[in-house]
Amino acid sequence: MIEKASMNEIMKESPSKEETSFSSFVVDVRNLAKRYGDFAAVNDLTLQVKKGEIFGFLGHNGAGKTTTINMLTTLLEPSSGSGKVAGYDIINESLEVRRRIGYLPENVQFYDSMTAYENLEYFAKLSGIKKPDSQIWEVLDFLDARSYADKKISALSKGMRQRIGIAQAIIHEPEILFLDEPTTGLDPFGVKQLRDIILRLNSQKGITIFMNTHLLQEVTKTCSTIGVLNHGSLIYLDSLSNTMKRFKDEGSLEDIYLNIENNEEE
Amino acid sequence: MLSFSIAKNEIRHLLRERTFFLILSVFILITLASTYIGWSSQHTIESVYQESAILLTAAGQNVPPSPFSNLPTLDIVKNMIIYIVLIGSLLAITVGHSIGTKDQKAGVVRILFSKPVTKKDVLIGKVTSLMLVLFAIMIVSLGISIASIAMLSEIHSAMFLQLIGFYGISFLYILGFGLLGLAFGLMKRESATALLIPVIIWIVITFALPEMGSALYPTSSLNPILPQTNILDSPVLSTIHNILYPFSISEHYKLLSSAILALQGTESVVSVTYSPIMNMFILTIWLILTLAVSIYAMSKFDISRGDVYE
Repeated sequence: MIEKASMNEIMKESPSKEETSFSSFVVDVRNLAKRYGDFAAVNDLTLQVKKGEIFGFLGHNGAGKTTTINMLTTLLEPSSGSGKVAGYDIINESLEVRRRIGYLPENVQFYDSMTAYENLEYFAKLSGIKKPDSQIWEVLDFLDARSYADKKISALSKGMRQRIGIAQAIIHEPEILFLDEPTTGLDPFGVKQLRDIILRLNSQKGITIFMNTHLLQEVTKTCSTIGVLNHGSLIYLDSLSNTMKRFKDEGSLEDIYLNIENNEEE
Repeated sequence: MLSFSIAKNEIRHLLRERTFFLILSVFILITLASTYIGWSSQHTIESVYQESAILLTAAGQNVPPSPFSNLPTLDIVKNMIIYIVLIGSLLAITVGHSIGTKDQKAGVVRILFSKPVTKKDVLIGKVTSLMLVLFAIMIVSLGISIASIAMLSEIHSAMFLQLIGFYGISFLYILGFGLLGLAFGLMKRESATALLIPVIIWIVITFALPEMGSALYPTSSLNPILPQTNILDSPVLSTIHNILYPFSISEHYKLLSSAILALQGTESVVSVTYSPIMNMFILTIWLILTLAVSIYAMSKFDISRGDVYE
């Protein structure tokens, strides 16, 4: 069992923070908060994510993960605090932020009456690509989804739709990709395929990944850094390797996760 | 450019909707029916007159002039005015509703606004698509009216201009309803409520306000003969009329359309009426107001909306 004193020491500590220059942060938020009346969905969140990382954002249902992603993707205006994504202010330079991010919402959906290609063409044009044909085929090939192009979205399975969802998010080659619970509803094979895609996007295309997830197992297999959000507050932030070293007595990441949350609640 | 892509996508979506084609087909049919019914009524009464004239001549009596001899040719399309008020505006609400709710029904609001588009881009795209679709419907209707008049009667160049003017005014009138459908589609989180509210407004404008504002005569809807006593002499009714009449949008549209088509016997039963310029001014205000409601609805639109739309 971890002592609370030692827990407090490691909480919200990023070991490489001092070594990293300001410009290498793709996500840099300070005291970010979102309140609905008296309820604080996100409370005083300070967080940095470096370029090239795969950041796993953990937390139980209602912890504030989706609210955080909504603020980082400029879909939701913070109640207070400030933040930059890809070097641009999320409040005052929202369009510049949007040009540089990709976003895959939980349970991604598209226009059912249109084919996958037509959906991608539409969203690519909205991303500023005037003639997106070559990019569409390139990204479909990258995701091994060329055969889905002419199919109506309504005819695609959840896993297939997820790939088209990723395709729309990366077609304009964003600096950072936000994934909100990307494995929700996928079978184990679909989860593995998605994990491979995330790793390839990071290693081959150099895209920083910010991923909300419930699946702790996925964090160990894909993420380089983890943050834990509890009741709107960030209670833990460290690299995965450091986390595994510090909690080496724990049987699994799930034990670590539960320990972190339990200690915080005490 | 972004608004153009959005407008193009909205139109593509509408054209793939069966409901839209069903309503459009009904509208085309009523355009045809309107002209045919107008022509048929005239033709029947004219035939009766001719037979009566023969009988009267044979009996050595004087033959009165035909009641239809002075009617303008475009009188046969006068039914279109009421069809636009009753069906055209409902069609426009449906189109506006479909455009306003499309992104929410598809569940793509978050993806859409994660792209570098503004609410202004989206609204311009949606309003443009609404205008183009309604304009196309009016053009089709105009074409059908011209073709059917040419077949059933004779048509002159001046009539073209009158018909173009009439369908132009009709376009502006139904566009206001389309904008209401769009605005409430954006504003409300339930599809049924989003459709119900503009329909209620349509009922008020089409039926309630004309009844209260310009048809205060108890039997006016049943009795075609104008009442001998002007009940607007009553201070209470006169006040109600003066307050409500400017808001009676459908009345202004009907009067303006009748003036453009130079129809006879369409004078209002009310004692105080406005000039066609004033009718046009009120229709313009109507359009500006509905556009303002659309702008307000988009400004309040929650772009982080991710819940299931019903």
